[in-house]
Amino acid sequence: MAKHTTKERKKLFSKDKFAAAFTKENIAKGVFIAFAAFSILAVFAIVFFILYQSIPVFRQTGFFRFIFSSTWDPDNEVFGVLPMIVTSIVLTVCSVVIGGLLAVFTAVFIVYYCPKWLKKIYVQMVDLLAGIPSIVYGYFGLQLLKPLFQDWFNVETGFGLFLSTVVLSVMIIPTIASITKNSLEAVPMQYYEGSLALGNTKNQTVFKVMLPAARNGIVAAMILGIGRAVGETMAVQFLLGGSVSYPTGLFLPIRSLTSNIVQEFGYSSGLHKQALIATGFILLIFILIINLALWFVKKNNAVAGNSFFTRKIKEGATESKVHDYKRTGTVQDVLWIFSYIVAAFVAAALITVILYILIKGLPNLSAHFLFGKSRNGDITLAPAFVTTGIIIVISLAIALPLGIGAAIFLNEYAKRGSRFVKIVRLFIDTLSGVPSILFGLFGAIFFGTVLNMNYCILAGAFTMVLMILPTIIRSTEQSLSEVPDSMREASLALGAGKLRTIFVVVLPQALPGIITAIILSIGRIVGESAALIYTAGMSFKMPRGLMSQGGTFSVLMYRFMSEGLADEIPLAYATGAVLIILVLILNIAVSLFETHFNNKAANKEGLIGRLIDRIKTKRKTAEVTDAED
Amino acid sequence: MKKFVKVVMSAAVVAAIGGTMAAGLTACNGGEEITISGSTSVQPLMELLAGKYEELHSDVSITVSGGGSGVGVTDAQQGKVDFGMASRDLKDDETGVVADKIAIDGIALVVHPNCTVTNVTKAEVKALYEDKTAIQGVITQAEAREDGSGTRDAFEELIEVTKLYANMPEISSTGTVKADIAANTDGNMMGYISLGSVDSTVKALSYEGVVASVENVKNNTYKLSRNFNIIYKEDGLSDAAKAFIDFIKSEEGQKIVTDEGYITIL
Repeated sequence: MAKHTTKERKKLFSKDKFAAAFTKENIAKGVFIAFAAFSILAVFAIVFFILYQSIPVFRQTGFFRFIFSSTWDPDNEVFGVLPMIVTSIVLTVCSVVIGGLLAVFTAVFIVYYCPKWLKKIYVQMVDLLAGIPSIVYGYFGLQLLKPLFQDWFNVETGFGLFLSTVVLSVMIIPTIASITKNSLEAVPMQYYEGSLALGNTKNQTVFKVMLPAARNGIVAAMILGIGRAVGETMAVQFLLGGSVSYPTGLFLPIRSLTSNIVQEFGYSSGLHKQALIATGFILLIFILIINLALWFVKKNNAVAGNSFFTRKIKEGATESKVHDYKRTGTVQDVLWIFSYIVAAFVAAALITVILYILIKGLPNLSAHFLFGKSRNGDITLAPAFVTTGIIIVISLAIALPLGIGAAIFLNEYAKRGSRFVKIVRLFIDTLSGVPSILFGLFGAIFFGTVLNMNYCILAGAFTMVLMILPTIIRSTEQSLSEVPDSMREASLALGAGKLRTIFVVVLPQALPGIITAIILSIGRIVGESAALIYTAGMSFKMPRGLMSQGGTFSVLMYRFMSEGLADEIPLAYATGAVLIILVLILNIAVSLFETHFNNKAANKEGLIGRLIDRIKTKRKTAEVTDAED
Repeated sequence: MKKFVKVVMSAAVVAAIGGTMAAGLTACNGGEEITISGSTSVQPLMELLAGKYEELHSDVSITVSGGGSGVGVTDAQQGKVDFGMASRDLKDDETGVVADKIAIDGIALVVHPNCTVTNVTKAEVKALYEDKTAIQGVITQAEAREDGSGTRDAFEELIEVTKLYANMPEISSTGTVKADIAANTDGNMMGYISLGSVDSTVKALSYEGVVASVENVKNNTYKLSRNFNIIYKEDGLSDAAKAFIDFIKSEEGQKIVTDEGYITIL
């Protein structure tokens, strides 16, 4: 009944300017749909081109021989990646177990135990941990941890599983911790209060009620962590040791799928290169499986609360169980202390990384190194400023309209929960889970070879568009969904069309989300190395245009770290320091910005909030009367 | 609303700055450009040569990129670059281009200065790298470079190493090999690096009774050496590239070669 009336109202409304409004609105809608579908296209393009380039190798070797053979001998064109697959899996499992454990305790600490004054700073610190470029982690592990471990454990070489696991665990903490934190916060407060009312201590409540209730969120967080760990490239590349063998010991040099690509891609050509791309395809299969798993976990989220609840009631039934509960209290007290220790460890890890790089790097920074003319034999960072700037501007200029358009479609046009929206979401999530090395391979194949752009800044910027798109879509969509419907209705009621409503009324309200997305994207681009090396190149020269090569800060740091440039270790530290400073600035910018807007929103609450509430109640009564008719 | 306008304005300003920056960069595209790619062993030397040359001819810009000797040859064959670099001589099937020697490099077998071994033979090194057979009971492990590295190619060809023992670290940079050896105070690990990169942190071993030195490579008694070549099509050189090659082979250019610890062709 209600639906019918709205339809009729719409008809009435559009009768006047039927022709004009119809075309314009529909064209716009079409454009938004196209933008939303872009993510699907991007994922398919990545899968297609990487597979396409891998086929010659699968033909020559056979797909299963490629996967299940242990010999990797490019000189004789024998390709088998089983040792790398095993290494990737073992490394991922170890890191996710350790990193996941640390992350869950970190999240518990943040949500339940962190003193109020510390909470904001601590959350900020965990975010910062996520912002540090992986190349910096790699350098930190190589320069500080590796010699340390060699000393402590008295081993032949520090390379291998142990070193990589330690660094990788720390790297995935922020990913897992932030999602665990969100799902802990989403557990209904009644659970907490109810548990306390039943006489449980706070520690018992946290570890036996709240944590199990957030179980599904934690599983999702772990899966995301797995995706992150499998795809990590630059950090582990410097820590694994590079030998093609099975991880039979903690301190044996090994090679993962990702490090196999980075280690040899620059040198390779012909079938060897295609074998490396095929390695990337195997990695892509892993990532797609992980994403599907994540999708299923998320899909089942809705029932989580209920199943948990029934289970709990059953458990409390017998008297012995009650005794058990009391006895376990000590365990939870230990866990409580443990969460403090973990939280302190995470903070210490962050501070160590930052201080180490800054102390080693800052003394090597000079005005000349930052802004002087860069040339052969005397490399400076001046071109990196320009290159990074250009890549940021171009990729944002493309990704912002695309991402905002897609978000507008998802939030303003699409029926919530329709199949198309679900598919688009799945693909956006998939795109955001693709590791940067695969973006690099795709960029090198598609922009570099197919479009014949070779190495150039433009190819790098295009590749970055794909990388930052999911962030922009999600962040924008989130803030669009927070705009109250009453504002849209008011605008429509005043006679504005849908397009006008979106651009004049809704979008300005979503601005905070968009700006946060921009800053996050800039951070992502600044820290990126794997995807840019194979698209924009590693040049340290001032770019002469969009079609010339250019290296960003992270790429130059990689360059300083690799082959033959032995005197450039101080330069690597200095570049690392610049990166850390940039990341710090961006992180502070995000938090300042968010506080600013939150304060504004809080102030609005008083006036407009009350108005909105009144409108809402009125609408409800209207609906009720409508229904009664 | 005002805020929105402000942000749009500032975004526009940023875009404008970016645009002009890009436009300006495209506009200043004067002077001559020389592109070089190939062996990462030759690359550091080539960069220094290029740097010196750019200093002398401010209108020339030289871009040196890596990729390995194979890439250097194919890029030169396809005319993608002005000339390629290779840390080996041309293979029989690499036709259509010529190799032009610009320097000779020695490969040093390095250990920690604490190591008591001073001289090794080819058979000893081969046995160490292939089967982990200890050299004189002291050197029990070794490090290799990654597949594709020019230094590794040359080392394996000269020592005739056909396989590496299981779990040997394969390091992707000279700097890391050197740091690893320098940290190996027990003196039981061997690695190989370019003679030009040897410094006081590591000790270069004598090979077959001959001290690893520039003189001994020159008089051909130290056998672990290879040629640094540039690769180009004989009739495909631009004037700018020709002038640069002349500079490399001149006394001034070869002085840089010597200063960097490589062996001059003069």
